[in-house]
Amino acid sequence: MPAILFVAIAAVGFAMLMIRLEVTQEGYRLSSLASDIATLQDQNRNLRLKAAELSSHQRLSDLAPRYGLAAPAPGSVVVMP
Amino acid sequence: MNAAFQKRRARIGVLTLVLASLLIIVVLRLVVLVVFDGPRLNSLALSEHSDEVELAAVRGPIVDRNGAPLALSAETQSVYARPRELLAASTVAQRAELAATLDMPPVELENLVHGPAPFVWLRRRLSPDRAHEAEALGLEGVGALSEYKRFYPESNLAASVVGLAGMDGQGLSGIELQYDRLIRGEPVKLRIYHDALGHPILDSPLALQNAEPGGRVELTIDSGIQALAESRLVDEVRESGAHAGSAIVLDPFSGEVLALANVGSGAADVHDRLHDQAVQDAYEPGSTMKGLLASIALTDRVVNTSQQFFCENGAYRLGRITIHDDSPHGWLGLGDIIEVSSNICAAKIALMLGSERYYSGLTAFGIGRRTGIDLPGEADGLLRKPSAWRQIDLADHGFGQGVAVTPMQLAVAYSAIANGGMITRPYVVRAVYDADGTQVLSHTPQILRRAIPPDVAHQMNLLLREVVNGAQGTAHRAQVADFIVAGKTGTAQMVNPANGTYFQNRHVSSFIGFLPADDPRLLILVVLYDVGHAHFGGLVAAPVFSEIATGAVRKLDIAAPRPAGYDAASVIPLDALHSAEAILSSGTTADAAEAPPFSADAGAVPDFNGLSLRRSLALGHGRALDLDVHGSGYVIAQDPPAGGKLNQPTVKLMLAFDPSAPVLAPLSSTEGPRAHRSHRGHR
Repeated sequence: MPAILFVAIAAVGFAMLMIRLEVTQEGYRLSSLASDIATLQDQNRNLRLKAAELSSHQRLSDLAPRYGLAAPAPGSVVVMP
Repeated sequence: MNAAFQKRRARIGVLTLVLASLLIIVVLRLVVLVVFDGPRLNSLALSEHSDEVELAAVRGPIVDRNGAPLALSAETQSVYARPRELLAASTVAQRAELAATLDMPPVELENLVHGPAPFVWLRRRLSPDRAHEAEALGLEGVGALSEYKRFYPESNLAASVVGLAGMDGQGLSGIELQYDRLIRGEPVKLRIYHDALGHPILDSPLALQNAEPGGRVELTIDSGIQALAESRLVDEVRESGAHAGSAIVLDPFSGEVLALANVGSGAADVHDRLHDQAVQDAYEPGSTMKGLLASIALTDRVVNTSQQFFCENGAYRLGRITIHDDSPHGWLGLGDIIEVSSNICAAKIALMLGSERYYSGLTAFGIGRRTGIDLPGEADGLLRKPSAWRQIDLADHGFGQGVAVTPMQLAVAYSAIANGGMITRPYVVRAVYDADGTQVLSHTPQILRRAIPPDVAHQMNLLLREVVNGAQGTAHRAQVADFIVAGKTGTAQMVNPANGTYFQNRHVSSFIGFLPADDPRLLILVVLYDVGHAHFGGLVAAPVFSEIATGAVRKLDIAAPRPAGYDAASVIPLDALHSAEAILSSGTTADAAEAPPFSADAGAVPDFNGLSLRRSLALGHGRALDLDVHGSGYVIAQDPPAGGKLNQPTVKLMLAFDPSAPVLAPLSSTEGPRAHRSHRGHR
């Protein structure tokens, strides 16, 4: 009887140890994923900023003449009622 | 035996006492450690294997009404040094290399690291690449931390509206300040456990929380119209030599601000993020005040549109002061007074109204009180209590002297004329959304009060059209192709703060108007500060209005209203329209240099019926005809009739906005449209 009790306690202890180890491993993985998410979000923000800067009014107005583009002359755009 | 036993027993007793005492000491020590020192020891233990980190919240974006970003935050890296470690582990040459990488003079870096502080920032808000280069040098005591930086991708577009955020992410001006609480977001303080090497271990999914990003602020501003207003204003400020300029584009019914531009003349303050002149500064409006005066006088039934006033032929003595008109006028109706902008008759109407009634009318229009726009630092303007007005003050206030308004106040007041009489609260933020896209704030049109009755607003709408379209109107340059514009010019002398008198050659020139006059969608105010003597509102501000309005109606797809019986076949080719432009800007009558290609029969009288004044001018120009124009709007009758034999070079045209409506204030003069006239005083 004492032997069975000892084995049971040892088994539970071992299981708890393994669970704790697994939790720690998952903790590392979560930490790494959270870091990846933050990095990707920052990259996304930087890309949005880049896109906004590239499509800014000032830049497009400066580029337009190079491509032969100009604002439509008065009367050349007719909005239908 | 007994003695030995007694001795041994005594020893056991002493030993027991000693052991018991020791046990008590241990227990007491345990109590001290757990109860008294527990929290301190616990925090010491935590500090060994855990850290508290603050996750900075990223500021929310500010976008225009179409979603185009005007302010964004992005990650940057800030490089720091721990001077003691750095100095111990590096040479001067290595630190010079670090300084070069950070694009700073070596002397500056040396000064920083030789200071007393244990931690110094070397460079903040660097691009991540540059910071990684610095870290790659491998110097002990040098590191980089992530920080968010505010970027304005449209450069200085709507700078005074969007405002500025400081280095530490706090709003300093404009929307950045006004909505800072919603834009800033919520930083999160998080305790994380780490291993012996400092790697974080997330021991619970609950620890996976991030800082709450700031809200996304959606403005009412249309960046296309804003860009147009700013660019045109910059050009005009440069050409006219003005000190600065402001322009406001409003939806007169909702109070939405579609554009709010402020530009300066100096290179440093062309776009000022910290100062919003259109909202925070007041100026004497000059003759634009006459529109409000006439509205108040009509509302109080002190005058009517058929009444005639004697304008004293150019000079009117009131006590010791003489009020002048730009050019002498005799008897004029209310419409003519607005059209020619007579100071003398405006003063007389103000005197007829009386101080109390005029003051009450002006306050109903919102003069002297904040509009309530959601921008910081709005000014009240200046409107003294009527008890302080002398007779000459009342007369002066009639044509906009001695009263100060902010451009936004004036725009809101004229919106009431455009929208049927209601004062609305202007606003620049349409909605704010949190990071999940849930709307946390929204603004809808808010009517504050009625300033004038609808019938008076309608009468004023008709009268103000004459300023732009009438033969004697002061703002022909405010015309917009295919649209009827109603508005008023203003050219006010600036006050000399040194002695309280007016400068003779320094003016604030402005034009305020709305279009389409029949169904106003846009109200536009253009103000140019401190222009020279010859720069009247109709000459410098009106063309800017016209260009902004032309671009805005195109941008917003506002269709040009057509008169009843409009015939598509009468569309005039572009070159003919350009000829009309030339006529309007030169102030001359028709030039028979070239005929437009739509000429069918050069010997017959062309058909002007249904055409606007502009198109009639173009058609007359093509046929070398002089036009005798009466009324405004669209041609409802002509003499000689269309198709008849052309025996005389002058064709008489009668214009109206609605064939069934009476023509207001028939023109007595037969002179053609003029670009400008000589000026004195206000108009």
